[in-house]
Amino acid sequence: MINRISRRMLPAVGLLLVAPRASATPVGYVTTEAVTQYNGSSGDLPNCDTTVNSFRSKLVNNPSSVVQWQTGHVFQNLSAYQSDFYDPERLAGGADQYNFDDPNFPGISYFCGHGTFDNGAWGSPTQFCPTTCNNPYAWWERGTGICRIFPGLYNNQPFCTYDAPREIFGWAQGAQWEVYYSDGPVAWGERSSWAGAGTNGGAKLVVLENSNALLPGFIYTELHQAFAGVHMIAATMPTNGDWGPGSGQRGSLFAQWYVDNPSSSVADAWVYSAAQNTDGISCPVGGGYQGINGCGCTITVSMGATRESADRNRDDTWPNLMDSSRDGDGTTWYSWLYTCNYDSNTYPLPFPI
Amino acid sequence: MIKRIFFVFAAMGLGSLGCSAHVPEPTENNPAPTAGVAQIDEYRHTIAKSRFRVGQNSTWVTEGHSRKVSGSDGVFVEDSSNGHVMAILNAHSTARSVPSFGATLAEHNAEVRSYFVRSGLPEREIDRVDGSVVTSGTGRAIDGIRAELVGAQKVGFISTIRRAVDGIPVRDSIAVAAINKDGDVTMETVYWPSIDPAIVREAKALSAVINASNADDYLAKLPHADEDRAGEVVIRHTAFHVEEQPRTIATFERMEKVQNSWVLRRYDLSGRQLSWGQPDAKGALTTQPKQP
Repeated sequence: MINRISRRMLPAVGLLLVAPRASATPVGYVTTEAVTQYNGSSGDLPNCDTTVNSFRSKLVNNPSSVVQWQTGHVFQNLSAYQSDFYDPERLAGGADQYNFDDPNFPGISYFCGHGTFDNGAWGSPTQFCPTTCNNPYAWWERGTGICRIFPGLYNNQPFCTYDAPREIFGWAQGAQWEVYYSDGPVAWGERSSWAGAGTNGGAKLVVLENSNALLPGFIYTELHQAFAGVHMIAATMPTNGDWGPGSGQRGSLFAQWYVDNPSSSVADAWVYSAAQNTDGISCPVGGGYQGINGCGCTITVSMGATRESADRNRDDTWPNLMDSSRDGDGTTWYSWLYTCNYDSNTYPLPFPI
Repeated sequence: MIKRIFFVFAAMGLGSLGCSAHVPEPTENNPAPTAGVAQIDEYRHTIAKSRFRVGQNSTWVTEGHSRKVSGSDGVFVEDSSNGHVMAILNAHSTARSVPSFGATLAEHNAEVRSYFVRSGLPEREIDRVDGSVVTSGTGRAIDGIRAELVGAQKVGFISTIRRAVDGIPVRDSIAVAAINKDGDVTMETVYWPSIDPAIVREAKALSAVINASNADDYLAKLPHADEDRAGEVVIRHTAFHVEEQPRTIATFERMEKVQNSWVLRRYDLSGRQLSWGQPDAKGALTTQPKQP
């Protein structure tokens, strides 16, 4: 049969055989922003480069038939701007559509740098539970508080803790900048206007490696404005300690799951790989490490208009990330997966997370 | 609109955190070695020893230095370059929904310890077993700002065996597993490389200095920090997933507050600060120019 086909036609035949398979492989982009130098305003974070570079490198350099990952934007240090993260429809001057949330580079957007100081135990908390939590300790804390345990602190007696804006910050153009992803001007992954943002988002998965990225008990409050289509946000959630800035392992481990098994669950990869992270220090109630200096958790959050869509995106596979029909469609429901570096059955987190 | 807050990198609750030296628990069958330091051998896990099930239609593939067996349920990877193994279920494997072994984390930790010891992991090198609970849940917005719980459930346990040699923790050696109620492993990672005896001797010397009555002389040589926490002497080696030449160090590491940030710093026997950050030069890229 093949003898009847001229040699000139062979390349075309080859294309016919492989082209459908090649075009079926989704293309995704890895955008990274990492701030390592803080010019004395805070300690430097040299391993932020390590974590984002190793993450991107492992995805891009290990081709699979599942997703074809390519390098998106790479902004490090002075080239990471505040405006990179703000939505232009929500805040004048925002330019996330060219940077962290670029629709021309849909895929994974990964930030590493400093974050929020307030870990929910500001100063010396005095409101021990049971009590009514309606008197925040600091002026920037807000709303009604909740009772929770900070493992190893005050003999594990629960006390009132309050929400506070969550931020990332960096240093560029001669000044420190902050981005409050909990407070409105951030809208990631938007492709339709249900979130009051534009239709110019590209982030399907946002990874936040920063201090106190999320506070247990306030996750919905802190993230629902940032969800505008993004499938999932992966972060750390310290409970008495902090994200370990000395660790460059997290990005590498996360990507290693994809490299070893591209058919794995994205949320599993983020959460379970924490147990393989050997950096950090111990937690006073046992355990510790997992890239946390003290006690803390590793979490993914997804949101949707329905319970089904929120739960569905929590279970995303790597190719699911690039399926736009699964883009977040609302923020009425949210779904999470987490693990802590200690026994969170004995020292439980507040629900809902 | 946005509150200006003074943010620095630190954890207020960290005051109660401390590092303590971990002393292995010798048993009758596994006495702690006290004489000179002999070669510390690796423990290499294999699929033949594993209770991980890759499922049907398994195929072997070699990718660089990784040898993978993939099946309908998952992948088991053996890395010939450093000996680590990793087993990961597929997202759609039904094994992911099988309940975890044991009613408590302690029961799961004990089962994982037993599993690896029976597989050949040297029990005398087990420092401790740490565990984690994996939890999933769903919530619903109630007023556009807050949410209520709809449901939460334990997904499973993960147990991590940590290593020590002559009482010195070897921080980056791990044997991690999750086991389900059927006794099957649903996730595992083992990296337990050989350790150069010279590094162990150096760590013990460093430990002797730190625990000596004149330890302040050593501590006084360390660079200034605004605050510091109690530290510990550990052995660090390159983590299993880092693509660089393997490296092992003996170091005294402790949390220090520098420029309003808490960082983990490491020092050698002479008090010289060591860089340790699992660099991965292969991934480095020059930053890109900004869009106008």
